[in-house]
Amino acid sequence: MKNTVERMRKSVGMSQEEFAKSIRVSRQTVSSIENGRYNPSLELAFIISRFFKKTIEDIFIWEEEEK
Amino acid sequence: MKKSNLTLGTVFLTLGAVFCAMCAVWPDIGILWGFAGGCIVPGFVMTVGYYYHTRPKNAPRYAEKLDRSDIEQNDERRKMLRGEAARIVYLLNLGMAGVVSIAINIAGIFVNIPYLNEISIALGTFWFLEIIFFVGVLKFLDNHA
Repeated sequence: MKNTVERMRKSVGMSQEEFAKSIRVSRQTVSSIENGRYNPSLELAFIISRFFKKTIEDIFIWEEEEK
Repeated sequence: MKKSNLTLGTVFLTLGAVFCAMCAVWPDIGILWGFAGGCIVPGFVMTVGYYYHTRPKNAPRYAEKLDRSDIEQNDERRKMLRGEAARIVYLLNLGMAGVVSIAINIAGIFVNIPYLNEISIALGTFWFLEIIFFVGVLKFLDNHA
């Protein structure tokens, strides 16, 4: 799953640390989400999208893997 | 910092003082010295910690520390990693107990190992109980989470 979290975060001029504190997760979690190493839970995905006043689909792009 | 820390610290210090008094009466009983130290040290740390963290200049820093710790504790990725770490440690424990059990039994053929049967039974029991606990906890979580 791809996401635009890093771009959105930078667009509001926040550091990873500040963003992490705002959504109450660790900085490492923000880093992992941005790098695509970790897919957040539905709840966290909602929190992130609400933070940027966007829908989940605007932030998280699900790409079906070819099997 | 919560007042309960001060209360608990005071209780520990009082218990430590009681154990110290008992040490004076029975100085040869080593466990009393252990209890005395085990009560005085954490009691001292809790009491001093309470007064240190409630000082006006330290209180905001402590609140920040608590907030950070709360975030770390409830971070969903950390929770997932803790679960994964527990699973790996469980497998390592099983593997180690199995390997050690086999190794000492093989070694027991060539050299005399005292209490070999008891050690084998203890390791086997550990191995068995670990699986039982793992399955039990997993079933519980499966039904309640």
